[in-house]
Amino acid sequence: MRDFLHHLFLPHHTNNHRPKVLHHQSLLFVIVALFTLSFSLHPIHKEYPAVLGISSNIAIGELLKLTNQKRAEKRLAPLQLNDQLSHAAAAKAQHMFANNYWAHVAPDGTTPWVFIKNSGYEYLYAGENLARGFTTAPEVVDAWMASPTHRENMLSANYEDIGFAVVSGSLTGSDTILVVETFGSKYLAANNAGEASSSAPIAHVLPSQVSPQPTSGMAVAAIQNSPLIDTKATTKNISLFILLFFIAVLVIDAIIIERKKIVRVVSHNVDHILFLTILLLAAIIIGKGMIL
Amino acid sequence: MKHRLKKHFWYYLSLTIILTLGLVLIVLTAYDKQLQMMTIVMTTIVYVAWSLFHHHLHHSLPVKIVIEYILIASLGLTLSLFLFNI
Repeated sequence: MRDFLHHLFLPHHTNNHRPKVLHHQSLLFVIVALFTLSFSLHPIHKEYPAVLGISSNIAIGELLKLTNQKRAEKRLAPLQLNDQLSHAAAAKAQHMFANNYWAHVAPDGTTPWVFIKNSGYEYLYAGENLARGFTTAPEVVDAWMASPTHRENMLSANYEDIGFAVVSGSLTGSDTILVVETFGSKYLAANNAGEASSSAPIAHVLPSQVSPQPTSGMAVAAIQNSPLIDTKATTKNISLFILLFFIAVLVIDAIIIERKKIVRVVSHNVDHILFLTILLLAAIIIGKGMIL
Repeated sequence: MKHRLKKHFWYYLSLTIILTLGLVLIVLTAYDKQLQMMTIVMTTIVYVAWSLFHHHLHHSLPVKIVIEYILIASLGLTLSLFLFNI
């Protein structure tokens, strides 16, 4: 057994002084196995999301509670969940999925304020926070709070109302859960006519015209998925394990070759370690949630 | 290895810069998975091309080395695909 492990993982006379796992045939085997696994899991993920899926639990109630908790810590009045703003948030989410973009302003120039106006909410102040790729409500709120411009929106005394939309779908090439948070305070024509202000993270605009007819959006209270196997975590862990494994084998191989002064044709471990380390860092970063 | 690193200092430095730049671009293109995957593919191609070019200039370039670089690059790409495909 010991000899077999030596043969597999360490440079040895039985493996021509190159760990067997680094031989061309072994690398090819791993590549083909991963390729096959990747394409065989994809249909299962699509057909049986209860078995293979992204584990998530994002509820609007929890987002509201957490947002108001953060405001309470700063002695700010709690925001009231507003149906019109929630419709605006849902319409924005729908527009993003339909037009495949990840931005405050759509490629066709549609601003977030259009959705608020169309919902019938006549605002004096308005703001929007976006998040995607998170799997729990605290993760979303923590990410927004960690960003100065998003925190400014969440802790603004200008806002009285809030609306949320939590929608899952395919956006810019990946299945994701999108969270839209829309802030507002109502326009009081009698004493505030003509006032304008700015709102982070994007420029705030005073409505140039009022659209009294709200559009209907998707009413989504929560997205809760508890698949048997969480594909996001599983694929990430497998990838990290394989990368770490090959980096470790290459490092050990380089050390032993150096110590034993073995001369080989193939011994470009430093190049490969650098390349795989960059991919390891990318794999750690890839898949984390994003805010905008 | 120390001798090798010293002898080819500029090569390893340039390779580190190229790969770090690739990582930065991978992070910056996080908003679009397809663009991010393309960035990974481009970084991998540059890695293989730059390494083989260096070998061509300073060493011999037997087929065995070319295959090794291609296999390591393919392993990286397959892992990336595995991460993205699901």
